Amino acid sequence: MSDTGGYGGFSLLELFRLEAESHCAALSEGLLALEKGPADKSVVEPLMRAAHSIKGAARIVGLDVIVTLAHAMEECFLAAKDGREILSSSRVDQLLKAVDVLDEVRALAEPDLAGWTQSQSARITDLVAQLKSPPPASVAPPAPVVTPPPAAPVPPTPAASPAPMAASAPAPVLAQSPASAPIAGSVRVATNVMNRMLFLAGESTVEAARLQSLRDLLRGVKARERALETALQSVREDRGSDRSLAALVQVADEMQVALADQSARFDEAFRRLEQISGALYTQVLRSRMRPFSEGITAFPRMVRDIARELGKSVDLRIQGESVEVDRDTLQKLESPLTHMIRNSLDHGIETPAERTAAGKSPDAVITLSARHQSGSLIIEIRDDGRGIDPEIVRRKIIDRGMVDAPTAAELTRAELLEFLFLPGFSTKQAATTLSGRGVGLDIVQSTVREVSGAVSLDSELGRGTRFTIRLPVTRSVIRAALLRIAGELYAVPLARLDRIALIPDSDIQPVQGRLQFTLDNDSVALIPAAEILGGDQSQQDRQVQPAIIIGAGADRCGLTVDQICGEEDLVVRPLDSRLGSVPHIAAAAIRSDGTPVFVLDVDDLLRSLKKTLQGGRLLGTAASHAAASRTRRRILVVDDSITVREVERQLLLRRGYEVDVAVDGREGYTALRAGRYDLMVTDVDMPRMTGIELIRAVRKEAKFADLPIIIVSYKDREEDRLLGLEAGASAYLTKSSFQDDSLIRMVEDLIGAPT
Amino acid sequence: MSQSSAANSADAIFRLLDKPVVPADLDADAALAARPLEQRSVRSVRLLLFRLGGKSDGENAALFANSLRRVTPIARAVPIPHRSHGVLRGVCNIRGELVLCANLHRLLSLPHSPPVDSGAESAIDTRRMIVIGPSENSWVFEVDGLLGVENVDPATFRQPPLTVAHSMTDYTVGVTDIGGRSVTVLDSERVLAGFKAGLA
Repeated sequence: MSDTGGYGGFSLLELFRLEAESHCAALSEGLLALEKGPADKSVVEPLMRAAHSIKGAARIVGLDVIVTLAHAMEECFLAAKDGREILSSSRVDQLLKAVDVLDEVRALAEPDLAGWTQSQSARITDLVAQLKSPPPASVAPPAPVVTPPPAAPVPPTPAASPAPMAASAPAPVLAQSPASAPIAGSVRVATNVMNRMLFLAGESTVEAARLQSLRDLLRGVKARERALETALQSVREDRGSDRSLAALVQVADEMQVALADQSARFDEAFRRLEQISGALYTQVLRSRMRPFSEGITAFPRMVRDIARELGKSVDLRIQGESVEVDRDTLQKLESPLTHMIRNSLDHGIETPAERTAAGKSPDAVITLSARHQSGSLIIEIRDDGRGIDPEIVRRKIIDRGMVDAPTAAELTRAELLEFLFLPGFSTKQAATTLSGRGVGLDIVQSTVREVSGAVSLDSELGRGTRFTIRLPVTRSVIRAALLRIAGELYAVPLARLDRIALIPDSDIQPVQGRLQFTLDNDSVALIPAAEILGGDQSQQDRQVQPAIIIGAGADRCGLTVDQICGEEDLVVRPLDSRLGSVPHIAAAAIRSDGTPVFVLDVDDLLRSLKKTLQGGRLLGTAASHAAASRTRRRILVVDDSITVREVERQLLLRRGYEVDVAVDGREGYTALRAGRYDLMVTDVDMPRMTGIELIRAVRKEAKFADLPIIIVSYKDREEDRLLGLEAGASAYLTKSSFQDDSLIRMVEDLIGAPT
Repeated sequence: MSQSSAANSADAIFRLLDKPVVPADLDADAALAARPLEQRSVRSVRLLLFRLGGKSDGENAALFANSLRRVTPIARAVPIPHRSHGVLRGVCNIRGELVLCANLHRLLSLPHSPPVDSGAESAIDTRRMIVIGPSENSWVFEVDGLLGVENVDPATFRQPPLTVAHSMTDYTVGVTDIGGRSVTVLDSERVLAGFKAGLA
C-alpha cells in the first residue's frame, strides 16, 4: 500500500523540514511567553521536547551543526526547568537567534545545504558557545539561587525539585502553553495526493455538467411523449385511419430509440460519477491517515544510539507498520512514545551482564506495535527487561505519604502500578540524563488523554514491562460489516467478527429454551440482535437465518440479524458526549451515502449476551413460543445486594411467581427490554444506574407505560417515597415489608395471583 | 391545450421538480436571518416562522432568527438504541456532522403525523430541518414547513391564551399575529433546555 499516506513520497530531509517547521513555531511562541512571565514548568517542558525532537530529526538527516545547536538549546531549557537558571531576556534572545537558524535551514533547498552549513558554521558555533556559557547577567528578575551551570549536572532529587512550586505559582499569561495550542486543525497533504483529489473533483464537476445535458435530453423525450399523446388523440378522432396509425407508430418508434439512447447514456454517466465520487471519497479519507510506520521513523535510530550510549544491546521490533493512524493522533503520540521507549531503555532494560546473570539473552528486545482492536487503536511498547518491583512501589507510596501503610498493603499489583502515573512519582532514585528529565509518566498520560486515549502499564518483575496506549476509534478508519437489525443499519468492525453465517433454518435447534446451532462441532447460542438492542425483530419466515458470530472460545455467540448488507470503510467518530455511554454502541459513523450508522460495541454485546444466557432466560423464537403458552406471572427483581435480591426472589418464588434477577439498574433495564415481565421490583441505590433512573428510563417507553413497578428500599423518608412515586413507581415499600407479607400482597394487588 | 401553453406548463413543472428542496436559498435566508440584532431597528426582532403539523390544523411557531444555525432539507434521524424514545429522536447527518435530533412536536405535545403521501401537493416535500444551539449543545429538529422570515416588534407579543396547552407555554416567549396568522414565538433557550432534559 504505497498510495496510502501523504508522507510516502517525502525524502528524509523533507520530513526533517516538516518537523522543524512545527517545532520552530512552538519554540518561538513559547520563548516569547517565557519572556513575559516566570519559567513555568508547563511552558518550559514543551520547549525542551521541541528542541529535543529537532535534535533527533537533525541527527537522522546528518545535520550535525543543528544537532549541536538543538542540544545546547535543550540544555538551556533543562536548566530553566530544574530551576538552575532563570531565563533572562538576553538568554531568550540567544534562543530566538537559534530558532532563526533553524528557520533558515529548513527553508534551504537540498543542493544549497552543504554550502550553507559551511558558511554558517562559525556563526552557529558562536551561538552554541553563547548558549553553553553561564547565564548572561540579568537585570530584571532578582535571581534567588543560581546554581552553577550545567557543567556538573547534579540532578535534584524529586522531593527537593522546585518544579512543583513553580508549577503552582500563578502564571495566567502562561496558561496557554504552545504544546496545548497547536495550529488549529490543519492537515498536511502531499502534493500528489492533493493533485489527485483536485483531479477527481474536476472530473466530478465535468460529470455533473454531463448530467445537465442528460436532463435536456430527457426533456426531449418528454416532448416526444407529448407528441405521442397528440398522435394517440388523432388516432381516436380519426377512428384509426392508416395515416394516423402510421404517424403514431413513427412517434412511438422515435421515442423508443431516444429512450434507449438516453438510458444507456444515463447508465454510463451514473457509473462514472459513482466511481469518481467513490475514488474522491477514498482519497480524501486516506489523506488524513498515515501508516503507523511513518510516524515512528526516528525510533530505530534513537534506540540504537541510546542503547550504545548506555552500553546495552537492544533490538527494536516494530509490528503493525501498515496500520493506519490518524496523522494528528500520530503526531501527538510521538512525544509520549519517545518517552516510554527511553524509559524502557533506561530503566527497563538491564545491561548484557545483568541479563546473562538472570538467565536471559544478552540482547534485549523492545517491541513497538500498533493494531486495531475492539474498535480501538492499540499501541504497545513492550520490553523484556527487569520489570517493576511492586514492593518498591508500595514502599515509595508509603514513604511519600500518598497512602497509609495498611491501605498500601491491600493494594494489588495493578493498583500499585497506577501510582506511577501520578505527577512527580519516579521509582528511580536519581533522575538520569535520559528519561529522568521529569517528562514523566504523568506527562505521558496527559498527552495521551489529549487525544482521548488512555495509557496503562503492566509489568512482571524479571520478565518485562508493557505500556499499552488505547486510543478511541476517533478518526480511525475501520472496515465494517453493515447489518440490518430491527429495521436499522448497524456496523460491526470486521476485525471483531468471528464470521458471518447464513444458517439454514433446519440447522437451528431449540435446546432448553434457547436457540442454537452447530459450528465447527461446537454448539453456539443464537440470540436475536434486536432482543439486545431493542426494537422489533422482523418475524420473517425464511429458510436461511443471517447471523454474525462474535466472541471466542466458550463465549462464542451468534446474533441473528434481519439482513447482512455488505462491507464498507467507515471513518469512525465518537458518540456525542451529551449522550454519555450508550449500551452496546461504541461509536458512530457516516456512510458514503450520507446516512449515519452506529458502530456496535462487540465487547459490551458479549457481556450482555453472557448475562442473558447465564440468566437462563428463554430467548429467540423459542421464547416467543414459550411466551404464548406461558401462564405464570413473571417478575424482575433488581437489587445490588445479593441478600436482598435472594430474599425477594425466594419470597416471590414461594408464592409461585417466576422470578428473574438483575444486579443493577443498567442490567435491569436490559433484562426488562429483552424479556417479558409482568412486574418489576427494584431497589433505589445501585451502581451504574439507580432505581430512580431505571424507572424514569423505563417509563419513557410506551410499552412499559403500564408496567407495575414496586420500589423496595431502606429509605423510608417521605421525600424518598415522593421521589420514587414521581419517577413512576406504582408502589414504594421499605425492606421491612419482607417481615410481614406486604410485598407479596402488593404484588398480588398489582398483577394478581401467580397463575 | 395548445402546444405552447403545454410546453410552458411543462417547463413550470420542470422548474418545480428541479428544486424540490432549495438548500442554497434556504441558506441565504438563514444567513440573512442570522444577522446580529444590532444591524436591525431596535424595535424589531427577526423571526423565522414555521409550521408544526398539517397545513390546515398545524401550529404556527417561530424562533428568533439569531438563534438559528442552519436550515436544511429533510434528513433522516437514525434512532439511538436504548435512547431514542420521547424527545430524543436520534442523530442526523447535517452536512457531514452528526447532530442530535430532537422531536419538537413531542416536546411541545403537538401531534406529529407522517406526511400524507397522496396527490400532487405532497410531491413537494415542505418539511425542513432546523439546527439551533451553540456547537456544544446543537440540536436539529424537523418542522412541517417554513413560512418565511419576518421582522416583528416584540411589543406586540402577548401572553399565550390560557387555552394553549401548558406544555407549549413552557417554551413560549409570547404569541403574536403575523399576516393574520397567530404565531407562537418559542424561546430557543428553553427549547434547548427541554431537548437536553430529554437526554436523561
